[in-house]
Amino acid sequence: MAVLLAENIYGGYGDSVVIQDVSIRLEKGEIVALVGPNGSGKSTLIKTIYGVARLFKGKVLFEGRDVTGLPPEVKTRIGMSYVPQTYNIFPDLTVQENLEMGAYIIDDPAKIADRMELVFSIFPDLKVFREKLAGELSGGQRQMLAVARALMTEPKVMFLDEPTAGLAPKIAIGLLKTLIRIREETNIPMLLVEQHARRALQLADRGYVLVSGRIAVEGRGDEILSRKDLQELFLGIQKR
Amino acid sequence: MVPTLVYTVFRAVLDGLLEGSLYALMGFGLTIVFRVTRVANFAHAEYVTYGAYAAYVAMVAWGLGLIPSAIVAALAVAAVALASDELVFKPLWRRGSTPLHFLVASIGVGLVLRFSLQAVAAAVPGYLNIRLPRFPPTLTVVGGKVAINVVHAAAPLLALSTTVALHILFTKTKLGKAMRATASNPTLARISGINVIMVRRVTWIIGGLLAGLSGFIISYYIQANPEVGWNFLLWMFAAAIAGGFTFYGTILAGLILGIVGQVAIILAGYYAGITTAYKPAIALVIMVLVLLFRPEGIIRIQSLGLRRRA
Repeated sequence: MAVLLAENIYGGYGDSVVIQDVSIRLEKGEIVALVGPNGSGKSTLIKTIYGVARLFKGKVLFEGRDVTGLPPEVKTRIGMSYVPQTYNIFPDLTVQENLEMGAYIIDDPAKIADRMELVFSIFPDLKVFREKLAGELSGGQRQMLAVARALMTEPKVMFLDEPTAGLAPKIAIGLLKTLIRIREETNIPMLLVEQHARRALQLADRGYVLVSGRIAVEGRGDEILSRKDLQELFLGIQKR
Repeated sequence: MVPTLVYTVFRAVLDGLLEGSLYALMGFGLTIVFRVTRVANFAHAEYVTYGAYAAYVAMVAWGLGLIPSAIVAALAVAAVALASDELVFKPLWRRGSTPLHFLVASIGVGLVLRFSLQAVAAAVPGYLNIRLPRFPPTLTVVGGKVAINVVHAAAPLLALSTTVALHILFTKTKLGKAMRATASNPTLARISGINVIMVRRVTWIIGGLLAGLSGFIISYYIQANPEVGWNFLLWMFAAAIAGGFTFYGTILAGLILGIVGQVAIILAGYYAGITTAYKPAIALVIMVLVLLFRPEGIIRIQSLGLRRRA
């Protein structure tokens, strides 16, 4: 059974439909990349599934349970987790307080402490800066904090919306490697949106290529990468 | 002549500290509500008026003592503040209104509150101008000229203890941190599972409690009528704006505004014969200057993460 199943999703903002008839699934322990050109609706798809953007039609199943239309706070409470692309930290709170807020739904202080230790072991930098205001962190540290915050709840699935956006290539690659490590240690399935399609498809188990709000191609990461026509069409944009 | 001026200025500083404490308490309510809900609440002024009247009713009509009357004032206004959110601002927010919609709606809420109170007060003999029947005792008289009233001490103490209590709330409790988180990034707060509706309610209640206490002090020491809060509106906004809509900045700005305003108008009267009727001009000038040159506020207290996001 898929951990997450989104079927025939139509989503967008206000009255405008951006996502049209998109179906995706996420199996246990999988990293799935969602790639596509700018404005293809990658972020909107994640937002729609999570309940931040407007869902017009479709169905979302999480661990077999119908969660369609549940507000984001409820989705978080039942084990889903989401790292938005922008505004993904609390800039006016310290690093430690950001993580505490990430664990808001957990009541047991011992468990929160455990999670914080785990997160600090993955991102040692955050431990060093735990008393610092999140708004004063560097770009790379902010993104680490954003991922760390989302990890605090011990989620059963994670949506990551371009966690490497705006980072220098070296730092971006470091962060993606950390995601693989998180998957290895926790087995959390991840849906990863990435601007840099090649990078994402190389590390992902499977991928979806989104074009103009529809799934154009889906398959194994290496398969998509090996298709010459796709590289020209969708991934060529990313060539340096 | 000089000693007289010294006493006059001393008196002005004392009164300014008292007024500043009120600006701080009122401005803080404005700030916290604005930061968490994006409502620049013009009706906050009327909450203060309602506090003054609630204290008066509690003491005169119900025969309660001083402290119980203060508590009644605080609770009554908390209820009014909560009701204005539940009935007006929250429904607007659910429909996706912008801060401008909230602002205009708050003017409407303020008008309804003020004129319904006015209608009632005009119908009941003795309610158009009120003052609690127990005048606060004088603590001491300095140099035989300047009487220091118990309220001169009580108001700053109230502002100080409020600040300490709020500091503990914001830095030590989960609820307080959730309030700051919601103010800092409302969408992420929801995504983190924070019950933003509950946070919203607590925010309005705190704003209402402080406005109610301010109203109590006004009817205890100064005097009140159905427009008393409205007359403070300029000052509470000036405090919030000068404080950059930060929590501690607003409190500090309120105290400074109170003292500067009072001393400036006394000196202007002494040297230039300008009457105190021009005092609101000081608040206006300060607001205009701040908005022109330091729109982020003159006082920015960045410690504890209670600053405003750049």
